[in-house]
Amino acid sequence: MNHLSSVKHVIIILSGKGGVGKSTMAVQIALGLHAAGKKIGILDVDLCGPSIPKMFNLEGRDIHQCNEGWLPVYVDKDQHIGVMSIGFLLSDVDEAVVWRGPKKNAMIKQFLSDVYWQDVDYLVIDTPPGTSDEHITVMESLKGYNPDGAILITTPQASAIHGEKGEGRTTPGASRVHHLPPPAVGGTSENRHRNGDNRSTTGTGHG
Amino acid sequence: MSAVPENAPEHCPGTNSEAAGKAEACAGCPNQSICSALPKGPDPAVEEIRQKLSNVKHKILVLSGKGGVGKSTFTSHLAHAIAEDPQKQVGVLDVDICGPSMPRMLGTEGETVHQSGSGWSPVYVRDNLAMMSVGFLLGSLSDAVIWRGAKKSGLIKQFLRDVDWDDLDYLIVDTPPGTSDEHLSLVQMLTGGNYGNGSGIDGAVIVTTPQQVALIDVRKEINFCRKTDVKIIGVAENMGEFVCPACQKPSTIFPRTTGGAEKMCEELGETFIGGLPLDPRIARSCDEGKSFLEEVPDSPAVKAFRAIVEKVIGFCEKKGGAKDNDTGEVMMDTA
Repeated sequence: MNHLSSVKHVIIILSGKGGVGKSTMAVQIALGLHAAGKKIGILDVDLCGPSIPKMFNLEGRDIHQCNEGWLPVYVDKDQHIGVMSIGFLLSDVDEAVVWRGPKKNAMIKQFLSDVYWQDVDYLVIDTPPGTSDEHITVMESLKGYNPDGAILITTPQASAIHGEKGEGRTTPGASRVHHLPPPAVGGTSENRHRNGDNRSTTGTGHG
Repeated sequence: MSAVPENAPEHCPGTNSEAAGKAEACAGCPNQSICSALPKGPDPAVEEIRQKLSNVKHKILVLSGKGGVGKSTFTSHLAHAIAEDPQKQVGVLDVDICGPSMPRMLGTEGETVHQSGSGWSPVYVRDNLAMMSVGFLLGSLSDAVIWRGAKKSGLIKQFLRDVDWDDLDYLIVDTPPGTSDEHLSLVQMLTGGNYGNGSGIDGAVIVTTPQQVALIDVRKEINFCRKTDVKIIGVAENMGEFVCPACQKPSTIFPRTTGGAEKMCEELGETFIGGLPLDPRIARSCDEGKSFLEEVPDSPAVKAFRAIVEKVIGFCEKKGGAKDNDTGEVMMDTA
């Protein structure tokens, strides 16, 4: 997995719960880092529900190969934001990826080893909800690369936070876990305001 | 979908065949050693499950490609709504192994599962509503189930084979988002991998939210159902309009940039069974383990939800009532 050696920082976006805004946050974090002058790679390991191509308006694009491996699909002309997702490998956008764990693991390992990220400053990894094959494979594969940490996303209600508690256990390889307060980003802050009550969650909900 | 995988060599005998791993066509196949080592023929658990669930009149799956759209909320309240009729026996099976929400939503967090001679006893929410979830098997609420797919499939098989539901009118299955191990195992266990059999699952309700990013995943789920011959009862669109309790002004939190679920159903030839508004009191009821049908009966969501429930029951009862037991043929009134 030599290509990961040239990546300076790896951040994994996690949530036990689905639909809390992982992909949205992954994209916004990437764009924020890009605005700060960094080169970014985004790896979408949600194989069943890849949202990143849509969010960057890259649907229908193909993956190209070079001598070093697979080239990410670039969002911008300067090639400062590169994306890799199974979405680019599907012939039909409605095609379901109905794979069991071993096949998903093989694909993720290939993404991690074969994509030529070049010298990105940050690799942001968007994951599906849960604590299963994708997460285990990513964590195991990144062990030698000292990922910076994971950002756990949640929404304020208890059933989402309950999922967070489990997610914390999946990051043994990450040195720090950061809890993002939802009000930091537009969509989730609206959720918080519209909850209507004065539930005094800071939004992180995780001690 | 058959037992011959899509990327199998030409003339693959099928992974379940007696010749699997041993036929000429198997030479060079990366799966050869696995196929030759595994036991052949259909999984005996399939027949055991069929017998165990033979007293369950209707089985409904609640699916969505996308997470966080309200599958568990929908499942719990569909169960509550049907169970309002004391004559109906309802079961809820939570196969979201990594993120089991049903114990919290049905107010049974902290309960444990007991074993009896006839299998695992489900946990009773009320007299005529029982449930099973991996949540009851965890030592603490914060325990994470960090399992690969094969282990999750094993537990699902156990849930289907060993839970002693007794007689049920409806078994409603809550699933995790996606189209992976849990979904494949569920469908294969209930239909014997004999897609098109039609006797295992009455149908699936697919839940979505209005925005395009959700619909993209939901289209994949519809695709999954078509590949596995699971009939789609219909698509329900959750979190549509939000009505402010202070000023009563409606807002659309998740814009229907591509026409929402209704337009998608039109395009794909599926049934749109209704929309539900975004009412914060629903989330609160779920967090507290209560039914919003009882807690906030004045909510516009309740009326909308009951209309959806009627369509779901109507679909199942129509299908079940006309079934010819000898040939397995189903005569359906075309709407």
